[in-house]
Amino acid sequence: MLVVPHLDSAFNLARWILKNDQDAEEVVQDAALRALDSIRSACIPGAKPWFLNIVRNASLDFLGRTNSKLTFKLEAEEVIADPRLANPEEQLVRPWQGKDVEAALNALPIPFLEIVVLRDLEKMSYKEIAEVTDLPVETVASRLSRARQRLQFSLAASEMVGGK
Amino acid sequence: MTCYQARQLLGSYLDGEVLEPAIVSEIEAHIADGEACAEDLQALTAMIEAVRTKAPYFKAPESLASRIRARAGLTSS
Repeated sequence: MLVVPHLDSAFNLARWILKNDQDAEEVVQDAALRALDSIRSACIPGAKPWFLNIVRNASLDFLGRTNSKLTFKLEAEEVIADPRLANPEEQLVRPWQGKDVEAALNALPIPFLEIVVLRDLEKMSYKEIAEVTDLPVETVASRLSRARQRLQFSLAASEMVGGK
Repeated sequence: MTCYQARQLLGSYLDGEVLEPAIVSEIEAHIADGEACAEDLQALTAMIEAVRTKAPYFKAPESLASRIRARAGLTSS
């Protein structure tokens, strides 16, 4: 079946966006059925970005947000340079805990979070991520760069708060 | 290439997404010459590795596939 090989990826993406198991399961099931209604075939190249695009949009619909609202919010939250990042080698001396990484990811606005999840957890190419998110590849690259800046900021802050 | 330009490209470089060989060469030459950008690259590499290895991966419940198959009227994958 076209969508079943990608259910883990779909659930992972929806779960990160929705932050709730039951909502993610419901959204993925509905998205899968919608996908199957539109096409029934064996696995084809490009099925994963196509299916994840449906899941992503269904997740955002579920949240009751529109892409334009998300984009506006993103542009209003430009990254502010943090002087602690001038000493990035300090971030190498202590390993981060999983809970710190999860918290830093959950602190990202969804337009940043979804791209990090698709790249670093789903190992998708920028071109594939562009297909999932309906963005130009250049925007994917710049948004990922900004997302990673924010993650570095958050992880550095978690070290300081943790007194490590 | 300036440090600012290099830093904007470090993530794409690590991801293997800088497709023009000339730009890859410029980035690598810049990193070889500049301690600060080399440290930035090292820090970014560590952070990306932390995300990839320590962030939870939420696998779909095993029952989900069979439920979808049943709802779709399918019996096999």
